[in-house]
Amino acid sequence: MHSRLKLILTLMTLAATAGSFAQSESSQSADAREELKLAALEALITAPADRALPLVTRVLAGNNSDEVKSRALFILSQIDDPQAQTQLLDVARQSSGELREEAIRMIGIGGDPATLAQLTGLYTSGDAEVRDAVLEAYLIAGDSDAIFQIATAADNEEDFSAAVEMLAAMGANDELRMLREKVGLSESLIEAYAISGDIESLRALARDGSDPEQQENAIDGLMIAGDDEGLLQLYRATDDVELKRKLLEALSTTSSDTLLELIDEALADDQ
Amino acid sequence: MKSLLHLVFAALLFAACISSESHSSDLLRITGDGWYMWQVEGNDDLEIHALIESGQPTEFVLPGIQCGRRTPPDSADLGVIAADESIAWLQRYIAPRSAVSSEVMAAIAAHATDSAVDVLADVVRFGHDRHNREEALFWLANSDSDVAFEFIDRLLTGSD
Repeated sequence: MHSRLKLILTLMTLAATAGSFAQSESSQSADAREELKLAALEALITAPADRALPLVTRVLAGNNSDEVKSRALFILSQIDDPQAQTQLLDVARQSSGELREEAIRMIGIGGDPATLAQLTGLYTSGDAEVRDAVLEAYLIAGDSDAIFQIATAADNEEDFSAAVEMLAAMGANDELRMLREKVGLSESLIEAYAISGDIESLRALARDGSDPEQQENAIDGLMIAGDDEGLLQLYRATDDVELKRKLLEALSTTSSDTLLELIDEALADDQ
Repeated sequence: MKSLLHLVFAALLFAACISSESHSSDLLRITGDGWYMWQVEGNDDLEIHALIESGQPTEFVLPGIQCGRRTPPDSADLGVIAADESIAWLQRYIAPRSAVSSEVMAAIAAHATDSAVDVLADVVRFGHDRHNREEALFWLANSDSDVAFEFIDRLLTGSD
């Protein structure tokens, strides 16, 4: 009886195991292999550089999906070895499409100064996608000086605006002010002052009535920056009716009670 | 033919499972609840303390290698245990995934032997729990074992 029970149990186990193997075979699908590759790459992030580098190199050279190669690029960016940086640059220079841009961004994440410096050449020779990726890489690396150099060298408004936007996003007020001295004022630069919250520059520009369009842009900038105090000071300081109207419009969009206070003041004066 | 091979392999596994089961209850001469410790043969740094509750390990302390070195608990001394024997006992508690699975895999990895790599590689290959598989990969990638990196290489090149 005991041996019969054992036999039944054995057969049941064999059937179950065979089933699980069949399932395991089907789970060896492309998706499962892809997931395993991604997990294996992630595990390499803490592996010694000399161990991880050859494996990542093979992944990049092999017939793998962009997702797997992108993950490999990230691991490369984290490997503290000059060879890893060289490889990132090679992919950035020789690949195309999303992988090339990913390699450029990964150079930003890696933050190696020597490799970051090489991106300037890529920016100059690259298309719009490459130029955007290079700016992103510098943004990620916090390299505002490199973006400043790109902005000063820009030969068209589109590239200049893109660089200036990045500086604004970084809050690089010093570089944005230097740009004004170096290349002159523009609408995109005033917008950048607003985004970076450079109220001091905006207030100075808003007070300057020599260029009405520039003054209006500066008032818009103060509005974007939420500087109701600056708008109020200007309102009180000017006798220009048209300018007062613009300032009231700007104040009406801020969330503070400044406009109501002004109305109260006006009502009190009338009485 | 392939199914037959699977069946034969399953039978072998089953047989191994039965023999392992009959041996495992006294594998480390653990007889009841409480703290037990053993020194892994050939690895002076590897002393493992395990708290057994209701017959299952619920906590591990590896004083020689753990970060923030804990004071070893007052454990019943099981003496020096061969690395393979220690790994064989530990591997029973990897799956199903539990509160000690992570510690068990860390302890297995600490043995730094080919057997430890084999066990962790099997978790990656045949495990059903994603966390277990990822952690096994982590320990393989953090080992200094050629075998481990050859295994990861095969995973990455799709030849495993």
